[in-house]
Amino acid sequence: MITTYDLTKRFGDMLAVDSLDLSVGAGEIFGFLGPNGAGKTTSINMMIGILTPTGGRVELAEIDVAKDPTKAKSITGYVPDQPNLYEKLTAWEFLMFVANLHKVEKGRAEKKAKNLLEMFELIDRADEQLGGYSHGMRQKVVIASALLHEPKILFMDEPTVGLDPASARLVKDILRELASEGVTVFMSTHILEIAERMCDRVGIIQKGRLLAVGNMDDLRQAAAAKGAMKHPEASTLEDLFIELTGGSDYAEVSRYLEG
Amino acid sequence: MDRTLLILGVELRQAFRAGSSADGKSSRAKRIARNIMGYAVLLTIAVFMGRGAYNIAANLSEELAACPNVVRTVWVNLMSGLSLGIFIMFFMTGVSVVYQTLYESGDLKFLLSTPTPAGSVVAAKLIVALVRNLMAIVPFMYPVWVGYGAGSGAPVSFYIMSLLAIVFAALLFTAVVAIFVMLVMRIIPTQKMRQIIMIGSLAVGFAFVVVFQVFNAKMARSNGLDTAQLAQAAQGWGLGNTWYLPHVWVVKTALLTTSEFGFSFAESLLPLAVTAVGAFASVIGLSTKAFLAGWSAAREVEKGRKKPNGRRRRRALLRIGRKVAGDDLAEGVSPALSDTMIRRHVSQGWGIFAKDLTILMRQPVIWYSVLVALVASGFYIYNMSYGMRSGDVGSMVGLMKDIVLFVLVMMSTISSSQMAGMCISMDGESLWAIRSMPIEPGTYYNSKMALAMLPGSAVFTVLALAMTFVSDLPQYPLYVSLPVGYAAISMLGSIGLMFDAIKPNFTIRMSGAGGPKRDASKALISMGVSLVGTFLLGVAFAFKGYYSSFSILAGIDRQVATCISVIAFTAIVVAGHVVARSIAIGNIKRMLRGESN
Ligand SMILES: Nc1ncnc2c1ncn2[C@@H]1O[C@H](COP(=O)(O)OP(=O)(O)OP(=O)(O)O)[C@@H](O)[C@H]1O
Ligand SMILES: [Mg+2]
Repeated sequence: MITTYDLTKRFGDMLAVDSLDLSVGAGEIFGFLGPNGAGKTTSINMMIGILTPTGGRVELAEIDVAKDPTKAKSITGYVPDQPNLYEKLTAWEFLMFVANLHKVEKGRAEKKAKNLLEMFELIDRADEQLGGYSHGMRQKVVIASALLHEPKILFMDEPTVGLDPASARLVKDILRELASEGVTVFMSTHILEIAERMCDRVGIIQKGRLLAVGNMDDLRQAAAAKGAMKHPEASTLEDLFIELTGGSDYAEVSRYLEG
Repeated sequence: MDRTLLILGVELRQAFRAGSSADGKSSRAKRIARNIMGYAVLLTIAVFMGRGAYNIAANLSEELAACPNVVRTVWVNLMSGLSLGIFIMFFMTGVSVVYQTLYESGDLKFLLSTPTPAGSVVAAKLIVALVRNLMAIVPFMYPVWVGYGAGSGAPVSFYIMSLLAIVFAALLFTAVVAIFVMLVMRIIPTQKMRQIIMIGSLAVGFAFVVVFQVFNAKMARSNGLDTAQLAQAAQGWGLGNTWYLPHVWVVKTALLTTSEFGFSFAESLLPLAVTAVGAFASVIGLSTKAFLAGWSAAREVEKGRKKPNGRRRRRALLRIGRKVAGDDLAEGVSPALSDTMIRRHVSQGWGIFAKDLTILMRQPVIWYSVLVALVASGFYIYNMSYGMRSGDVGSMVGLMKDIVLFVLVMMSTISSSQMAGMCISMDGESLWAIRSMPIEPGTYYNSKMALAMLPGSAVFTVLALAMTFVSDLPQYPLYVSLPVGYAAISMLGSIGLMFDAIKPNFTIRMSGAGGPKRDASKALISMGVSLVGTFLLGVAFAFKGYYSSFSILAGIDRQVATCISVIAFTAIVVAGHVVARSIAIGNIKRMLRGESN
């Protein structure tokens, strides 16, 4: 469903994403991990066609994003890393606006929006302006807006940031449910527990380069190949992540902490 | 004090960097070229206005060389009209600048969380507001004064004193509005009441300034243009009886060093400087008591009633397993949600338009500018009707009709060009949503175009109707004036929209905690271009009224001339639309795809 070919982005002299080749299949939940500034958000933005790559291309369900951005955008849902919203609109108005842009038929859109608001416990405050919403509440509105038109591919940039445990759980349940229905989910996250428990495959990116991709076993092998892991069999995703993205830095930190 | 300077330093650095994005796509040379082009347009406008003023002043001195007293009286009256114009322009654009800078800057949250005294923060923000207000006014006003100065042979010190006078005028206005806003924010309990009071009283203040001007103008006219009387009135230079008005101080300050007027320090610079500095000091003094509470109050959002929500969540969660927000979930449980016009038609264009309109209607600043536009227009209609009746229209009836029509168009475009200049910028609040959705650039452009035209057409309709039923000036019937007006407004709107598409300012936030970094030069250029556009359209449309006064053209048949007028007008409208649309759509396309420009 998602395929990138040699996807590259430069900001001035800085290579933010370096020849990314990825392929994610239908119904798969793909986790995108990497340290801050690794290039996750930049990659996602290029994949959904809101940032023009310096090189390479992206196909979503066989649609070339650069050639037909409108068609590509009509089958994707997107949750950005920052839940910026029109502060003077109410949650209800925002969802109706999004439904309009996706040309969702009227009755259907209203029912769907009501259900989503209800699930996220926002229905009683749906007539309030978003300017008065808390960070987590906004995040929920954004997630609801991404689900409204039943996209085939969901891109989520750190979707659970700011959510309370119950809501985070709800999001996870929703994603699993959607994946079982064949929706492809591509999400970046810093919460390794989510990546480990939910994702079919994980990609780890650092300084714009894809270090490793695959399920836990693949990652273990990659880590083992990279250096001397003491117990490759027993390691958690956290260990693997730190090993792959620069264990030496981490070792220095712990030395510093120990004095 | 040093903290104030520190904050100002950061602001200055931000302002310098605002134009240059870190993105490498657009080359440095291109950016510089664009900036140079902007300044060139600005300079052209300034020179244009300055030259006009120079010509008037030079003619005046030459024609009335025999009676210098009259020249001086006319000169003082013109100057005082101009300085009143400065205050009127402040009222139109400056109030929201002060409010937004003081209460909606994005960095306030951070600054107030540090141990910086509120006074330092407010002082810095007030200076920023002052500079913004000055930048919006100086390129228009100062060239006119310089033109007059050059045309009438004023001493060098005049140029310095007049600039000083403008600066003090801006300081006075900024500080007084700040005091007022701060008090309202502190004292009035609810957000809605605050907005009503603030908008209402500022509009009344504006009306007061304007009505006073009408009153003055009327008195001046009733004096007649009798030279002897004028000379008599000139004894006090016509301003003696209004010594207590700030705009009179401004004029006198500007003319303080021009010896033949003989104004004294005590009636000019002294009151101006003392009140301006005093008002500034009062703002700082007041800020320790009133700013913090008012600022946090500004961030409140009106809440609806809150109902308890029981076990609904549980039930919802239980059903997730079956279907994500499927059709079977919420029947009969959901409370009624308010109807929204966004949903009236399922179409993308309507969706964007209705969304923008919904946001704008909740924007107090918009209502303020509508009120101000109506008051100002009422004043102009009144003034025009009055002035024309007393003058002799006679043979110029044809041309009069055109002038009346295009003055109305000009009045209407001011509100439209303001709107057009932020149509696209206002989506910066939630740009990801616009970008990530399947919208064609053309659809987006059309709905923004509708929005850009809306205020101008509304004001124009009101004005045209008012003119038809109230005034006895010669004018076109509505079936001519309305279409011509709408066509002109739409073209000027599309040009404003084009400027916003070329350089959208996504750091302005319509509401809440954004930094309202107005792009002064963009606003000025777009305003200047729309003034020039109105002028061109007027010249084209009025061709049939004036062609006979040029000897080469005098032989043209009247009907042919009318045809030429209509064709030329239509051609300009169409050409303007085509060019503006294609440039704007190109930029919108890049914006939607996230290409940097
Ligand atoms: N508009 C931009 N201009 C210049 N550099 C940018 C821009 N956007 C991102 N970058 C740079 O690109 C790199 C990747 O940024 P990106 O936002 O993709 O990181 P990320 O992996 O999402 O990080 P985080 O985990 O903090 O969200 C960073 O070094 C960042 O500084
Ligand atoms: Mg990110």
